[in-house]
Amino acid sequence: MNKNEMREVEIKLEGRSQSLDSAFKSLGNALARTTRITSIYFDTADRRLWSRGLTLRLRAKDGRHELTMKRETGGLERGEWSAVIDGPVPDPGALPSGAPREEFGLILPEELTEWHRTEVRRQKKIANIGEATVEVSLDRGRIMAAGREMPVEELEIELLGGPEDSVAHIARSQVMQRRVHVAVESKAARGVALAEGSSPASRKFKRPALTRSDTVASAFATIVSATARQVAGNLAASRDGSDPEGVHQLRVGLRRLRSALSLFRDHLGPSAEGLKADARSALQAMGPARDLDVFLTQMLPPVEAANPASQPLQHLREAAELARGTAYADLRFMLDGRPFNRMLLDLLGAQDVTLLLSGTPGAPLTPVATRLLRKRHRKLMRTGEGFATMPLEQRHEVRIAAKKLRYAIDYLGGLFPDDVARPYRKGMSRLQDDLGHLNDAAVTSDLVDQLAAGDAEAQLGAAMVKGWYAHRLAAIEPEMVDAWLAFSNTPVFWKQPKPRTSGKKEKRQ
Amino acid sequence: MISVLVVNAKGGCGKTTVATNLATAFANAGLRTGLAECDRQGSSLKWLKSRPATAAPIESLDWRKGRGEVPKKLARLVIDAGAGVDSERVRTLLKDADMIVMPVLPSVFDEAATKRFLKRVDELKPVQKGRKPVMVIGNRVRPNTRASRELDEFLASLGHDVVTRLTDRALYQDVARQGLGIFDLPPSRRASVIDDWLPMVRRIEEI
Repeated sequence: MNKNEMREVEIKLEGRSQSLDSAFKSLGNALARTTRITSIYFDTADRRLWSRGLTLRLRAKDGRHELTMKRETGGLERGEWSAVIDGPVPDPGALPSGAPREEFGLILPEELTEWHRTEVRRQKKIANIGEATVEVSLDRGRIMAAGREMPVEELEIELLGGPEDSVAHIARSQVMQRRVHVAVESKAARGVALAEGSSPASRKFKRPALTRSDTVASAFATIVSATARQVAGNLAASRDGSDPEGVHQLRVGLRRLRSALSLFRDHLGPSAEGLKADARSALQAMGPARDLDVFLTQMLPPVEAANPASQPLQHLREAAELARGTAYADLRFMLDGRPFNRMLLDLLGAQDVTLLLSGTPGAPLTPVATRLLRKRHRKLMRTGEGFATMPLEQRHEVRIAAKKLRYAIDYLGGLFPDDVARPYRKGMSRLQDDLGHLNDAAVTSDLVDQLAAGDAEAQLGAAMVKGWYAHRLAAIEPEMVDAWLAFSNTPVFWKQPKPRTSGKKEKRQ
Repeated sequence: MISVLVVNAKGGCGKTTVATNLATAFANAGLRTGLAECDRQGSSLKWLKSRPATAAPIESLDWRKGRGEVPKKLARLVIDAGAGVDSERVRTLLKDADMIVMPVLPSVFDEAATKRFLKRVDELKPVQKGRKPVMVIGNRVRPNTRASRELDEFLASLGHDVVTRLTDRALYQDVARQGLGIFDLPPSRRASVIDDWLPMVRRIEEI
């Protein structure tokens, strides 16, 4: 049995047929070979592989069969374990020894069934570009599952040899020249959605676990790759738009990236600034879609429930739904556009984040973390002085300072004992919830004014909504002040314990 | 590591059949598997010795004179407890196990012994507290016979469901003679028995 194991580094591009054709032609001079490939994807009835982010594929190849397990990471590289087997039986036992068996355990071939298959006509060639050797494949065909099918057309660039970031560089130059964009979702993931008749799934942010043995560089690398996965993993759901979570989670990824970039600002070189600015403009471009999602699913419903069959609110809803359609069309255009894809490739290719770093990236993380947390805490305390009596605009400043501190805690809080950090975290979370109402009221007020412009009936609805949230803000005022006072009296958790004095029990400061 | 303790109320209930076949299931899945023998007769060890070199490897652990070392990095361990073990011995062996698998024959002659044994096993603390499940397996069952129905009723009266029933088949003897288990065979040749095994395998893997 011929077994092999590898890590796959690849990137896929989608776009108009002609653009993909010309991209394919432009990459290398070798003659392309055309083959037809049928891939069958297997899983158990209860999706034990997919629920662990794994896929199992069987391909007939030159009269033999190839069984391949892949791990979906949402990044540029994927784990891949492959074996040539005797017959068309998908037996995970036949996979090479490196396959992640401790994750899926014993799965018998009798438990596996076909969930979906892909049939593609593949043009393939090897190209030497710069220092890298890549395999370029242009796939056209369809994905079939549960009696349904969808077309598939994509250009795949896979690294065979050379520097790991060269795939991102090659893709970047294509994105800059042609109307193509990065496709992150695998055929397997698309097949799963097709089989289940579901829209693409969104992905929640997993806070990267940093430890006391991390350095500034290793912590930054961990955070950047987590945000890259978060952005990539929510692209399909954002484009689809049927679940508001997609755009929300994509924005979460970008905000987390920006917060990491500003958190580690002192350790970053000038190229990080570009990435930060790109993330900012992408966030801004996605703002309208998100604001309208929040308005339609969270802000408007309570006002509607209190005023059933209100004509003005109905007008407002219709205007918002119309605007949402436009906002999502704009969003898709932005996601397919050059600046966003350039940023995405920078992000996905930023595995080697040392390029972003400068100064002393090898410094241990914990002292740096303590300094950063202290700095942001002080900033919040300064901004919040006189909280109970300050004007609304200043409260917004407090909200922003609190948000920045919160992000710092999310990343760095795990370096300190949980029981010590808990009261601070809790107080922080309460304060943020209350301050969040400020922002909701402000955003909603602006939004309804825009939506109702030129429609007297809708303007009445806008006034109802504004009144509703102005009142809510007034109602929670005592609670907000209380939350601030409680938080500002909560001891911080990052002070180092005093040096141990002999014979006495150590006290935490 | 997942570890399974295979025990019997009395000898000849198919303990070794269950233990050796389970071990082949794990080994063929590419999981590093050990089979620990506690029975003085040593039938599991003999079976391992006759196992062809080309078959999926199973590490042989001789525990006949007491518990031996468990190799590190073992992914699955099957412990074949000796025949006629008392509850004290089960208690000791259970320290190394995540669950108990207990084959029972559909025979009225076995009922009294099964009842006594199962009662004592149920009284063991980790079992009582639900930390370590007991899976009762009907063995050498002829489906849809009176004996098989009576076995179900009898076990239900003791508060246990039968997780699965292994049908009486010559195939088990045939493969055992070659040092093999049914999971060493290609799926097409074990089709007649596979459905009997799936519920047990699933329960073990979901622990």
